[in-house]
Amino acid sequence: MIDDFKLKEVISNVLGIPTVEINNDSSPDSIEKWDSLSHLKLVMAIESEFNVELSPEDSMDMLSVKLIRIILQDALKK
Amino acid sequence: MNLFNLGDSYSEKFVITDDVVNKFADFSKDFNPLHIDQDYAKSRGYSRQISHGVIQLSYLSKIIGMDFPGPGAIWMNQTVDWLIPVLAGDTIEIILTIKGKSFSAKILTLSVEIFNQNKKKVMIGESQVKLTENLSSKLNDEINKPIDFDLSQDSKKYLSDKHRSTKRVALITGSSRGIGEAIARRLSSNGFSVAINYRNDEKSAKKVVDSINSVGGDAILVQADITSPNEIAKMSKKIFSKWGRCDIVVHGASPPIKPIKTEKVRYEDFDIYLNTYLKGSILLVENFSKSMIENKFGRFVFLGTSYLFGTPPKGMAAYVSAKEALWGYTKSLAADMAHYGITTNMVSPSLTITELTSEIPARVKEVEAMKSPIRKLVTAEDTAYHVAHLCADHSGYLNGINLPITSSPV
Repeated sequence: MIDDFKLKEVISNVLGIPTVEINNDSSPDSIEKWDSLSHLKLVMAIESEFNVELSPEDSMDMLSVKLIRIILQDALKK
Repeated sequence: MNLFNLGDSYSEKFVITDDVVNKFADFSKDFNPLHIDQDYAKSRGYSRQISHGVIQLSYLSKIIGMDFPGPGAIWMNQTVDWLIPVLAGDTIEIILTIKGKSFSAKILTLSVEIFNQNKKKVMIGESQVKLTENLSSKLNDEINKPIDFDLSQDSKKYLSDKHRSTKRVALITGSSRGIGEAIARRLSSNGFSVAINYRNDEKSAKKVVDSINSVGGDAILVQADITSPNEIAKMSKKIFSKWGRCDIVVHGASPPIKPIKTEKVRYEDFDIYLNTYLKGSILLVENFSKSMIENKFGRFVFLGTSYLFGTPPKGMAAYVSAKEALWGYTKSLAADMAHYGITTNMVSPSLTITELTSEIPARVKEVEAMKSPIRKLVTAEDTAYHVAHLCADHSGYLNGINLPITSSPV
């Protein structure tokens, strides 16, 4: 299982938004600061905080918090 | 635009003066004394010299080329019968009348009559005139005639499906669940009698039938493996003995869809899909088109996939190839069957959450949803709604299309 609290903290830190504004459906649609540049920062932050290695495809598919959780969960199993 | 009609005529008067006659003699070198010497003409019993007959044709030439039909006309042929001489000083009236026309050859046939000032006919003949492009458009009154569309009659043809005296009958393959089930429910609520086809899952199929009938619908259960000629024949017998007809066939049955790595996929994997999609469709057409042809009405709707548009996803070679084959068959049927009143179309939704797609990983589904402009996966009901539209009487002009239900341009 992934630490959802930790994930929210990472997203909150990278995007500069309060954790209460982050939920499962959050995405670049709903968070203005989640643009293509901060997305790369987010992917790198997730990699280092959770100590996983993600593929370029994983990065491209992380289109929402829900997807980040799905992809992170798969990556942690490996 | 004034069109050329049979019976249309044109007339113009000309005075054949001495000057005209003498100029013509100069021009043609026809100095026959009958034309230019009044005394000589008198000695031959004419009160004045006779004008050259061809002068009449010269004026005819002017009319054909300048007035009737006018510039662009080519004089092809002329018969001439001079009845009495035209004397210098006479006034002639040339009358042209359209007595024939050919739209295909773009030729007018004109009768020619020439009278003198005493209303005596001096010449009769017939002209043939070829019309070049700018003129020929005036010929095709039959083609250009405004068509009186009687829309009230037209709309009467399309009785709303709910208000027909005879209900339309629809067979929906694979309608025990998922998209097929949604289509069956939608067609039933639109007023169709529905045959619920299933292969194995009798319990689910019976549930669909019961729930449709419990709300006033007209549904029966028909078991058949769509790849089996015998079972389809048996199924069609059951439908025809119940309703005596089958107007609509929606083919949605499918084996479970699961990705297979392309380097590991075998021809046998293709066969699974080809059997259901292509062979199944061919068998359905074989069994149901005859009754549609007799009734001059039919609808075939085949379920496609949005993977037919653009780059298909990884590992779907067997599935995509078989659907593509079905699309080829759809187009051919559309071309061949439309004149019987039978339309054939494909409906191609993007990834839909049903049991069929349960083996597709959650991540793929979620990515697909987030990549769609409306951030949602298509539902079975979305697809059902559009299938019902294609099945309606009023959709006779939608034929051979592959309707994308994708929430985005394809």
